Amino acid sequence: MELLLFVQLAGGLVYLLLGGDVLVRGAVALARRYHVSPMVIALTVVAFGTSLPELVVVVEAALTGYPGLVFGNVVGSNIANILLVAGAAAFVYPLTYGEHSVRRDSIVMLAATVLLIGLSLNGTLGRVEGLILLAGLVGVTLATMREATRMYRGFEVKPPLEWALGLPTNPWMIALFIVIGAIGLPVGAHLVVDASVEMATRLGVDDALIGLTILAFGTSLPELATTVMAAIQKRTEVAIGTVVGSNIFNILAILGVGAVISPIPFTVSQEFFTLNFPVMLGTAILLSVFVWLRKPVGRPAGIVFLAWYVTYIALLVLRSRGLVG
Amino acid sequence: MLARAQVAGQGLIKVWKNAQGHGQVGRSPKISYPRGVDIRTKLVFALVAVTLGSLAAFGMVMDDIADTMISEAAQDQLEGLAASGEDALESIVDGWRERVQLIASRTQLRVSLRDYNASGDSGDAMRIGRILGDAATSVKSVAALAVFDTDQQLVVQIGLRADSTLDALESEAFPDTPDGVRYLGAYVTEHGVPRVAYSTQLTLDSEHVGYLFVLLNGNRLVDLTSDTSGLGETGELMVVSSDQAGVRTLHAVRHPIDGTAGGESGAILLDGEDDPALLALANEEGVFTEGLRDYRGEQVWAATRFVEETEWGLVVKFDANEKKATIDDFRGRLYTLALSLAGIGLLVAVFLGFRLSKPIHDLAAVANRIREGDLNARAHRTREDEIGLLAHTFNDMAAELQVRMAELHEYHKFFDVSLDLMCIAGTDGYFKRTNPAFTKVLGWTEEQLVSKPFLDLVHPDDVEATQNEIDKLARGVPTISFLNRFRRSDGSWIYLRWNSYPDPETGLLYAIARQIEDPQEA
Repeated sequence: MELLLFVQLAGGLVYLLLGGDVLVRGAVALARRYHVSPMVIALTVVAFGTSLPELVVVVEAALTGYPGLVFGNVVGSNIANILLVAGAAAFVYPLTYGEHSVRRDSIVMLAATVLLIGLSLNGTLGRVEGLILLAGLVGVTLATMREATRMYRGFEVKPPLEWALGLPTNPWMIALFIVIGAIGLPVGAHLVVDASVEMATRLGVDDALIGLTILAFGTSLPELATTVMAAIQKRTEVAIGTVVGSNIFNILAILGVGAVISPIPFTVSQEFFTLNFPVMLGTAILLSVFVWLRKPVGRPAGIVFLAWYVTYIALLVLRSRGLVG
Repeated sequence: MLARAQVAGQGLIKVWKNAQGHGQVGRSPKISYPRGVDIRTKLVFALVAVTLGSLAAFGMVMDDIADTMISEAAQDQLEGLAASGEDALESIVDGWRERVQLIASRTQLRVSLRDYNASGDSGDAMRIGRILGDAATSVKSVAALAVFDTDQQLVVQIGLRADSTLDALESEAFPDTPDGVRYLGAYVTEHGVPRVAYSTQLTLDSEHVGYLFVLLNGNRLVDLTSDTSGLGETGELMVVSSDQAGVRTLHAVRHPIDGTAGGESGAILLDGEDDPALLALANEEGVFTEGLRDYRGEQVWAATRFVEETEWGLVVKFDANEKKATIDDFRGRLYTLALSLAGIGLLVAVFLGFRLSKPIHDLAAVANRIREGDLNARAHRTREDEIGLLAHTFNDMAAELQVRMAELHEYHKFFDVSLDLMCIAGTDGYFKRTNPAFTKVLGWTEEQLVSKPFLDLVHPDDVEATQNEIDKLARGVPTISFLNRFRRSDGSWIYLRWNSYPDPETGLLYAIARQIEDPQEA
């Protein structure tokens, strides 16, 4: 039966990914039909749309009463993004820097991480804290938009060939894309959350642990695949920017939305302060140091990152079994 | 590298030379993307449609099967539980009867009672009392015993208070016939223990000597009804009896509710109109899944039995919701699994779509490179399928094109180095292309030559003849040795002798001219 739960988790992730992809394509096509500028599309529909899978999982988990899953997923995703995604990509080909905004973004990531830990100090994360996180999101988005507007002259949105071919033009087709995406996302979220909760129940562990490990790994898989594929083709200049951006979005948007809509505040267990938060903050600082020095993340660093991730997961599992204090 | 010439009404024609110096003519390099949906998405959408259809069909069939299977299994289970419950209950009742018979069979008791009947001596009564006391301790579950004489007057009683149930025995309680044990009734004590009362005639050598009344504790009945193994979360086995007050359970029920008529004992009055107990007591035996509600008002599925000897009803029941929950749970698992597997199928479709469309995208990119002048570009032929065939054919075509372009390039050299003036012109009166000799001889650049009607350059005296010649060419008649005068860029005039051939398919004129120093010469 455990195998079936993994099948369910995998199936759910596929629905999330495809649903998100199809919905974003429908939305981009719709925006283009109404002559929305490509920059605005890139900054809104695409930026938020690509994080839709995580967002619907969080909404589903929060509304069905598993806040631990939400909290664990966000913290676990941020750790996995740096240690696993960036680590694996760096192992394949050194990660370099293409965008000039990465330095500033890494500061934002650190600030968001510290803000999250600060808000959790009293042991709970409720509506008010969620609103503070969302306010941070609005601030960051506005700043990004202003900068993008300033650089508009040089701004070029070049969609990949798949998109150029895959964007519907017929209004019925656009509607079909949006409807299929809008159905696929919650179906996927339901399957994923249901499987995660069931796993936690069967294994007799806290739902936060499932969020930190299996769910975080699952939701990081697509990023892992695309980043590693890009590394194989030696195109690594966007990898760090993607990881940093995803981490900022995870804390401010995903956790913010989750905390605001969840009927019960998230309880932050002691475990987070002794293990998960230090690891999250530590990895964020580590990556920021690389970014600040503009030092490429090479294969040795990639190996260290990956080893750190394996150790962290092992520690989590051992702790849940009561084998390590 | 890229020289463009805009020609009115003919779109954009460009002439350029690639690294090898080959000159080519082609259309604009801008890719016109198809407006339809890509292969990958089509595959996914098709699979979504197929999956949803299959899921719906599969769901409907499985729903039906699951429903039937689970409800049949539940009915079999109810039937089985009712049958085993009935056996257990009958053995309990038989046990009680045997105990009564065991006590009644004591010869000492009956002899003493005959003596008492004859003498009315209290010593005989005391002896009867001792025998009863011994019976009460040696026979299990005896709660009370009483012996009456033939006049139905109490002789001795044990274990009962004066005001207890047996005091109020009615005359029917005294059996008329000597054989058999008569069941009198049952009640539940305030401690929840059911008690059953029996009476029997005592005879000695076919002589009627009196009556024995026995009250037994029904602990085994409590054991039977409180054992919920195999009954799930809500199931319950109930034994009910009916008296003037109504239908009652003979034991505490599994789901006690406030305000029941049973008081502290936990046994309750069943006053519901749809209670399965009514069916059992009406001797309607079977399994029922519709329209029954138990003492809580819950819809139940029930199996019923009627116990003839005691006129009790036996009910085994489950909450309908529990059974429905089982069916729903099964259905949910089924749909979840089907949906998950379909999701993984979709992933396969996406990969397949990528695998199919990737080489096609690559081929499109190679075609684009060739169009942009890189004639050495070739598709990688990595697959041995239809796409491989396409790539192979494409590469053949590109190779052929390269050979043709090389040949063309060779002819182009004649065009470039010729001392004679060579040109392509239209019957519309414009040059389309001219060779370098034109510029050398006339002094006009190619751009200047193609941008205005060539009649503008013809000597006014020759315009009419030239126009006639063009009309002839337009009709398909070649020109041989036609002579006219052209203006050079320095304003001087030269004689040109023309040979031209019209191409009826394109309407273009291919012409060669040679400068003539003295027209009289030719």
